[in-house]
Amino acid sequence: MIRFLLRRTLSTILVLLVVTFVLYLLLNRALDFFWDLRASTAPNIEDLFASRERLLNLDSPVIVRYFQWLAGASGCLVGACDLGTAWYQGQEVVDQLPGAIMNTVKLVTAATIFSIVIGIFIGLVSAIRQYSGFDYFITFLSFLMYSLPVFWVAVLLKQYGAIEFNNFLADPVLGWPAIIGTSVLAGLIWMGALGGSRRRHLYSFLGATAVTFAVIYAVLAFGWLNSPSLGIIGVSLMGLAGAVVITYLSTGLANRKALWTSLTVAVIGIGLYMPLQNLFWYVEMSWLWMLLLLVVAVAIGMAVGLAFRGRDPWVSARTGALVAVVMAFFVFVDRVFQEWGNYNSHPAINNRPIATIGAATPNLTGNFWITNLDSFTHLLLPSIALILISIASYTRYTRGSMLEVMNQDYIRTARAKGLPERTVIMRHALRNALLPLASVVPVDIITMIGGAVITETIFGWSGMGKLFIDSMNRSEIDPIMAYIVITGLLAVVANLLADFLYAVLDPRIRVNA
Amino acid sequence: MNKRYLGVGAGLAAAALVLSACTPPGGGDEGGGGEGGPSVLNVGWNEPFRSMNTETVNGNAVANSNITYMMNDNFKYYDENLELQDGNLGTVEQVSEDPLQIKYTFADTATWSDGTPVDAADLALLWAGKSTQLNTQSDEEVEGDRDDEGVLAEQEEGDVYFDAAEPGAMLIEDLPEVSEDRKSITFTYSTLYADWETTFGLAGRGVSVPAHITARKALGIEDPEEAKQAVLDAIAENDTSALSQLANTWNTGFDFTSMPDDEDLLVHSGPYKMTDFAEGQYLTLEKDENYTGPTEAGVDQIVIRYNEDPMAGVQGIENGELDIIQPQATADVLSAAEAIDGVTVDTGDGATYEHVDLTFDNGGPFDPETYGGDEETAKLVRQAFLKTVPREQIVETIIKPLNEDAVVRDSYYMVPGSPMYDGIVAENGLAEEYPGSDPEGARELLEEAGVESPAVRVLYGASNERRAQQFTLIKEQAEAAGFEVIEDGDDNWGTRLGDGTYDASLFGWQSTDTTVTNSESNWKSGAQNNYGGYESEEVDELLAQIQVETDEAAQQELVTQVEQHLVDDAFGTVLFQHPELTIYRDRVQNVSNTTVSPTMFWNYWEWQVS
Repeated sequence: MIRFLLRRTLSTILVLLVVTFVLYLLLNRALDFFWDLRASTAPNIEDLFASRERLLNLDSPVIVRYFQWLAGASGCLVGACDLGTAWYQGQEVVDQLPGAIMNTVKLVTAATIFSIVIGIFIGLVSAIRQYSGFDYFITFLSFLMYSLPVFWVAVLLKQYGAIEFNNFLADPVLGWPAIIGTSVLAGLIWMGALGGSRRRHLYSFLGATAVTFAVIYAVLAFGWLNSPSLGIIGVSLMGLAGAVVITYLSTGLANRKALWTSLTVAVIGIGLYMPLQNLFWYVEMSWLWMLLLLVVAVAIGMAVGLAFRGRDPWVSARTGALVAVVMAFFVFVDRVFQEWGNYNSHPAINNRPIATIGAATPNLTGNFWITNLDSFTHLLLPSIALILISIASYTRYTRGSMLEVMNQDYIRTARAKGLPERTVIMRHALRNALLPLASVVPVDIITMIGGAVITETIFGWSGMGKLFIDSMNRSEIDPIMAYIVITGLLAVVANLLADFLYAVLDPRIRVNA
Repeated sequence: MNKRYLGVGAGLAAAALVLSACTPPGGGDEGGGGEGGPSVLNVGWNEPFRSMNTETVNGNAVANSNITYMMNDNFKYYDENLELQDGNLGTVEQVSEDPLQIKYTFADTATWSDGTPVDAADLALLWAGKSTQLNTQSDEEVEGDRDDEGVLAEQEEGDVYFDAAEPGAMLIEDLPEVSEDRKSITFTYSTLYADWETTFGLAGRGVSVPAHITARKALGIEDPEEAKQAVLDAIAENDTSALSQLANTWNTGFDFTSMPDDEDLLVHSGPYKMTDFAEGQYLTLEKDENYTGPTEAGVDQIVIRYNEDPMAGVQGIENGELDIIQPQATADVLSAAEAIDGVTVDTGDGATYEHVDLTFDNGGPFDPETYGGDEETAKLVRQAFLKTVPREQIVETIIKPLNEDAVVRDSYYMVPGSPMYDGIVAENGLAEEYPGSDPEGARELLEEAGVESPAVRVLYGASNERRAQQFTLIKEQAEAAGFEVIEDGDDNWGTRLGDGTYDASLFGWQSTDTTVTNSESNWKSGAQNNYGGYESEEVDELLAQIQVETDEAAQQELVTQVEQHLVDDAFGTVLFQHPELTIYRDRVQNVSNTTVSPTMFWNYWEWQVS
């Protein structure tokens, strides 16, 4: 194990050295350090060129400059980091990085989580309904999304997700054809996803259509779009529904202990709704508080599960904790949405809540909830752009490996011994189907910290991707090198993590030197 | 069994509900200033601010000077007709013509935002910075003092290096004369100098950074009066140890890319103060209630939001997040912007102009060496080539769709519409000699030269679509005249300028002002921007005269003569001014644009929002 780590570390260092050296030479060749002076007609242009040459030390050979850079960068190992200077900005690279990394993490975290969860779910359903209309529809859609150029998606999203949507919010009226069309489409999708007999098809179609229609109608009729909030009733309904769904997926409704646990947790959550509103009102909240409350919620969920005892209390505890997280999420969302009215009428927002540029509205002052709501309205579109595209690949991965697993003998055996279909799919098939994903996901997550260059540029997020492309455009070699080192390191770490994860998930695999 | 626990759970829930009987105080009353809030204007810009000192080599950029233009008062600025106007900082007068003496007098209202008057000490420090007279280290010596990354290391005690240089200020070799009350300062030029009006205090450059803050940070003197005196003393006595510290602070001490903790850095002399700056995102300027000067700004809060994607700017306008933008002008941006309701699109000339340069010294078709040193033959070939360049056609087909009022630029020096333009164009002969699209005339010249189908390599930026279109038009005409045109589209055109691997180049020059010494390095023998290796003793002689000519009429006469030479020698040709789009929502009034920096910001005080 230690030998394995040592060998990995050594090879990483070697690779990084070679990569940085080669890239430094290439960048030095490719970048034009005088780009901004090329077109200048300033009378003192000669002095400007000379000054730039001095500034970047261009007289010394590139090899020398590389080792000077390396000396500074290797200082990071002993805590005296000197990654050089972004000369155009006149700023230390060490000062640039934290902000950029923060912004990128903010941008990609939600997008990654959502795309993994949704992608796996859709892939799963699509695999179960192999060769059905739903499966073809999903396949078509995921290939379509996979091939979309992100800059185009971003522009379309801004046009329809922000500009048109904001216009729509000013006067939220939908024509009947649009409402009916959407309802029928939703009905068809649900019908495909739920599958079953002809009769069940019909029922799911009618049910889903009616529910969608009712929801759209209610949303429009009660002006919910302009004062969106769940309220205690919304939180209760969604919490209880969430409890049932989670129990169904995780243990099956037959496990009565687990069902009681999750329902109890949901009821406790509903009971705590009002006290929490008081807490939120009297105490200025922060993310630390949110984390603390989440931990408390999880603890309550687990405690309830354990209290119900039964044959395997930890299964109940797990279910309880999941339900508690979901409840906490709903309560949080509800609280944030309570600020919608204030936010929307703020002069800086001017009733156009969905933003197209930047990470925050300038000079918007407000409490924790308002600033978060502001963050969300800015995160919405870039997140959707990222999710749309990465969801597709997760769907395909899951579907593929799920189908492979479903055709194996042990699945047939499991079915033959009379296990319910839910157990077969969730416990026997999905777990094994997720194994290949374990090697993809860590790499995906960590390389996402490298930033989404195009998305960040178009939406004006100054994250890592933007830092990289801006430095490229400004011919600042030092930030580019820092970027390369960081993403290179992360890639190595991600692969290492994937190896370990694999070993943990699959006992047949050993991490060996 | 589990019913018991259910009972406990239900009891808990009930208790909680009872607890909450004291309903939370709902209905927030914060946020939403409603009517009567400050008026806010959102301006979109592509590149973030990075330094308050716009006079250093690196700080001298429009991204900086647009902001400092609104934060500081100045002595002179350009209006929309490119006429030089007097700013509010004070007056500039010529005291004597020979030797050239210029006196700057500060207005009584000229005050830094911390209450210290703006006075001669500030301008003296600026002179120290720009004139290079006090630098003890030559450029070569400084070389060794760069640290690993090439950043100028703190100079050792006693070494002075101000990282700036400006030809006008460099001609002032003597110490400036400061009046007793420090309300005025007089500079004496060692030779005559044509563009003395713009040497100090132009637009966003103002008097640059406050002397007392520089001294406070460099020398640790808290009291502003003492600090100012210390600066003046250091300059007067050439106290190298104090000057070296001042120079270090002046060079980099005013650089920041997010809101600085040190409020001293934000001391300013104009109507707006900086109140927020989120790195890479936005910068907020607010009307400074303590400002006592004459500039009356209309908008309470100006927010500059940064995004370099032109389409993102247009969509930001449409979504109401931005009020004014000046994106890179392309047909897509124009049509997208014109399609939006409630938005005005102004098209005009930008600061960059397109031109074709010929190479004189690479053994190519335009080099006399190719013809055994026969100047005349080479000149005929050059003239022939320039005759084919379809200037009118290029403007008609490529630029007119973006800017209806676009014209062919007929002067090497001046922007169309600037004060001297018409006078120069009437006599320089560019329009008559090279109207363009004249393959017949070109063919005759080639026959006269006795050169058959010379091969011309044309260098231009390959991925610049507009340049590619121009090249196609040029190629058509030149080939009709018998030239063999070799396409040399290269995205690294910038690094190849002057390396002799091409015969003609197509790119843009940016003018930063309309002075007569500007752009002389494009055609002066051996100068930096003279990539084609053009050499002419007569032109060099005229350029030297222009430098010391202070009379405007005489300046115009000399510039015209230079241009006549350039036309006659077939130096190259100019095509058009790049179009500039100013797009703004109808809630903003009084937006106008000027060709040079600070472009649309030039009349910021007249902006109004509704």
